[in-house]
Amino acid sequence: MFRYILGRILALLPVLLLISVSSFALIHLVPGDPAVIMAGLQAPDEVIRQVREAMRLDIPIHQQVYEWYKALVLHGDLGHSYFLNARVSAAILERMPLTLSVAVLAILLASILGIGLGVLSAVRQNSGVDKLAMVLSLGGLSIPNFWLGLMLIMYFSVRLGLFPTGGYVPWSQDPLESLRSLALPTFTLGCTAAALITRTSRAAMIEVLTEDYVRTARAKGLRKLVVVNKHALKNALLPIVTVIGNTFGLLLGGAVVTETVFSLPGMGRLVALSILRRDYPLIQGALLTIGVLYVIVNLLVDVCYCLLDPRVKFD
Amino acid sequence: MKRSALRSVLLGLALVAVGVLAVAAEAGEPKKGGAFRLAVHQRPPTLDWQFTSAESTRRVAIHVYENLFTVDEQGAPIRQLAEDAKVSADGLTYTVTLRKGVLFHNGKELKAEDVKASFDRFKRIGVRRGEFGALKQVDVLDDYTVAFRLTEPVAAFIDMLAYPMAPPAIMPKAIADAAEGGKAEIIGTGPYKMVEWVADKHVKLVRFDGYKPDARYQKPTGFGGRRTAYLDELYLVLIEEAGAREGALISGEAQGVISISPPSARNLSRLKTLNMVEINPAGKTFIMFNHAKWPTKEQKFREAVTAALNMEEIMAVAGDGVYQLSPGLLFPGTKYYTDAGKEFYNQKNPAKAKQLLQEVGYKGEEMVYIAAPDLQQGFKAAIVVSQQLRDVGINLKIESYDFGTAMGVRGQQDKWNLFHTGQIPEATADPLPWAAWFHSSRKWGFYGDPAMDELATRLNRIGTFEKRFEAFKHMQEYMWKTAAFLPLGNYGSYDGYQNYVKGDDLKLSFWIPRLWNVWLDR
Amino acid sequence: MATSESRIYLARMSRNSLCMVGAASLLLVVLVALLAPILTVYDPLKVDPRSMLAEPSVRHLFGTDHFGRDLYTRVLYGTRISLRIGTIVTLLTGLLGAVIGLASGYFRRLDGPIMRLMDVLMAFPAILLAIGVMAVLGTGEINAIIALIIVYTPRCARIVRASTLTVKTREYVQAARVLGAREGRIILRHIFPNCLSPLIVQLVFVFAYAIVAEAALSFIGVGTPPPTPSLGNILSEGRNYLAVAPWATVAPGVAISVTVLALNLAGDGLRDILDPRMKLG
Repeated sequence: MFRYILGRILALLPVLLLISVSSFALIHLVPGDPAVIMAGLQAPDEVIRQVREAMRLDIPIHQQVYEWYKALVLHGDLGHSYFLNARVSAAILERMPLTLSVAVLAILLASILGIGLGVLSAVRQNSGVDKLAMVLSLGGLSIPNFWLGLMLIMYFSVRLGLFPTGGYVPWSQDPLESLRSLALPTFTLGCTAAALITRTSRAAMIEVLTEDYVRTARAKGLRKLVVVNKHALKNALLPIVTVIGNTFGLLLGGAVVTETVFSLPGMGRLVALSILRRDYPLIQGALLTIGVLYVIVNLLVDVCYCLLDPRVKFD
Repeated sequence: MKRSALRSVLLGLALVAVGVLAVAAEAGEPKKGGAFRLAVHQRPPTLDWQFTSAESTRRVAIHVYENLFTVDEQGAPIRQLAEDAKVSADGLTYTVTLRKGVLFHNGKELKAEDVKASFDRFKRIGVRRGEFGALKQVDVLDDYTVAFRLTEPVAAFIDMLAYPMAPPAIMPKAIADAAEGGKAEIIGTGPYKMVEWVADKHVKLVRFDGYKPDARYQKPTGFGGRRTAYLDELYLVLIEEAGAREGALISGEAQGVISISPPSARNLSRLKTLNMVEINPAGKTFIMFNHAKWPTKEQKFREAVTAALNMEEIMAVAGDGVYQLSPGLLFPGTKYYTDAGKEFYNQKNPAKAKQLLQEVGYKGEEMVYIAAPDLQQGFKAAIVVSQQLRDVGINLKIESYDFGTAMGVRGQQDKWNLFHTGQIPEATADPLPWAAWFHSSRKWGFYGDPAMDELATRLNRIGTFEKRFEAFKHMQEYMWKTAAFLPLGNYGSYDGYQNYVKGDDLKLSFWIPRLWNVWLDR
Repeated sequence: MATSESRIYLARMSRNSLCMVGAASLLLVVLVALLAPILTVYDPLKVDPRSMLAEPSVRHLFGTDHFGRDLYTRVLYGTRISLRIGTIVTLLTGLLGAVIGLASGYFRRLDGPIMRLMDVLMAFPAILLAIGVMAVLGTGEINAIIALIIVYTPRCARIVRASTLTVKTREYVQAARVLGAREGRIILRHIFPNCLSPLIVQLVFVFAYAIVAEAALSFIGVGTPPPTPSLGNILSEGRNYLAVAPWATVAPGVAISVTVLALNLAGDGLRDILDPRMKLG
């Protein structure tokens, strides 16, 4: 198994390399003077001069890439945002926990709901529950999450006053308020994820339930519940885990709009604001971070594969 | 027995009376302490007051920095850090003595050398340094006296020093000497000191206990006077979205919120816990032309734009129904207000516009109109303007940037044709900032017109009110005639506060919120 | 396609009621969008300060926004713009995806590098990649279209590649090669038609993703610039008046949801019809 994991990591290296290079290239692809782009359009001349010196635009491009990698790998240096007057890595680290918390909470909610509902519908195909699950999941997929968020705010915050209309209260300041401020965003993000997970769980379970070995087990007289849990679910988990991994990426993307709707000071909102401000160092750093994060999540999914299905080995 | 009973009753009554009086008195007494969160909608590009004219910076700076002079409630100059000021007979030397015992936030006492260093820095990097062309140098005469040496008499010199937009704010010599523009450590002499700035979140100020209110005044006035900080902490929290800002006010998370749209304010005023303050006019919105790029560099084209616009429609939308139509650069009710050039304002004449476009040879080339969503009213105005201009055949594309970024793009000659911006009243009654902006040295929108330079320079030199007023009228008329800039009108807005926020007979919002002599009564 | 095949497809189609509902709804949406100018008397851009934030009424079916513009009209035109963008993105993504997928599947040597590039593009969540591309290109409708094409092409390329690999090994393809047929011909006549079904199904979903993505980009302010109505920027503008005028945010959201739902139904149905084995896609 260790070899398998190592193998997967090695396979990912070229992808990581390309992600990082394209992220570096961003600044140089934008039309205009890279130093001005880096420093920000409103920066005074002295700052631009400093940035130009720091960027060492005079040395050949492959050396620039090397220097950039050195700074990145040795110091975790993603550059400096002149807008925020902070290091990009610091800005990202400060906001990442909130985005990740909401994403993780949303995935947990979605998985519990999704797998539960999906399995239930698969076991009771074409029943009322099944039809309901299909309708809900279709709805969850079709309703844009930022609109869902707005509707939730309108009803639960403005009309009923149950939740704040936006903003984030840190856990350390007030745990109850913190949960209240995260409730609607988590639910909003969780809905689309839940819809996807429900559909995949249902389909995977149905597929497995019609397999021969399951039919054999049923024929042998094993109770339905035992069959479902012991045999079917485990094998159905493979595609379910895949979709959970993919959904994580979707949630990170969805965070951009959801955090905007709920005014949460997370990574997503920072990216949305950065594009309006043309804060390129930050956009660059954010893309790199999230790309790498997503690759890691996929790796974890692959590891889960290995654990779930002993037949899967390093190919 | 009866007498002692009577005595006890009287004593009891007296105690009750004292108790009632005490409670009544307490309700009106300022209470020290508490944290105030003011939700603002714009992110300051820097907190260095000398370096930027942005309103978002000023909101913080008025609490933290002080100047030699500032403005009072009517917008006239008053002394702040200056004890006394004398002008020489020839008008070339202003001798200013400083108040003694004024402390900076780092504990150091304010001395003349700090003033000189601050002015030297202002002349190096201050965004308004062009206006002070006549200031040759600042000399230190002794520990508490400075002399301003001018190359020629400037009648409005004190007004220029007092004008609260990007002023020569006074900072310690060590910082003034070393810090580049935009990078100064924020140390001033104001009633609050800056302790933290988290760029996307908030600016945190705390009460400066070493501050001595200015005993020369009875109470606060304008941005000066006798100011006392009662709050322990003051946060200016950035919440860009209007809905979220209002939410913070409703939930009680914010004690004050600025820039609430009139429809929302009407809705919120139904809540008994809130106090809505109307600010009308809250600002002026106008369009800048790029005078270095085709087609806006052609006067006929600009005249076409001016002719096409229906200001009523624009301002009604921009101000959500709360607005003033006004061709003046200044605000109605101020001393120098004039409507000179009003025949050019609100022409609503698309036919004339189309005619002019044809004459100037405009063939429908795409133009860039820069507007910032965080300007709120200005952005709405820009959308209506773009629509009206499209109706006469001008091919426009709106590009949105955060306002700070937009100001940077404005400096790039080939990136824009129209730029939407605004100005808030600033409580100044004086036309000097306009004279400064219109002067070619400022390169505002790459504008430079020798005739205008002449008018602008004249405005600064002459002394009497009547002559200055005439000069300003000519300036404004010339602007309209050559369609150099395009004011659209004034809009109103609302600020909202929790009703436990109390102030000592002072308007809480004096164009921008002043949070000294303000306390939380709860 | 042989007649017997199409008869089978049609039979399956009519039995799959959900797909019919989806296709019918979609047709309705497209019709409404195309006929927008006829279905309304208002100009979506015309400002009317005298009726700002008016409630829904007979005169204004969905009410007005804070510019006094009729929301029913804006939603109609917004749907039009969304569909237009969706169509362009889908067609070009299909084309590009097919070309890349075929090249990658057929030519061994190109496979490695092309797939690595696709993996990289798929390593970013869609909206973030779109934002990244627009950081370089600039904001606006055309750049949003280009960004979305870049975002969705890898998925299509993957699918086409998978089909290509499968079909490549089939006997009639080998036979054609032995007989000396030119590669281009082989690809076009034998391989490509077999990639069509999964590609078309995927493109229906891409259409749905593109509509939502464009709305999201317009919502945060980098997509279709105002005052042109886009379902996303109508939502974004209405947001500031959520407490006072909720109708401004209900209508555009419903429009997006209905369109995407129709596409999802149609896509699911299509998948069932063309290849029932693809359920787990």
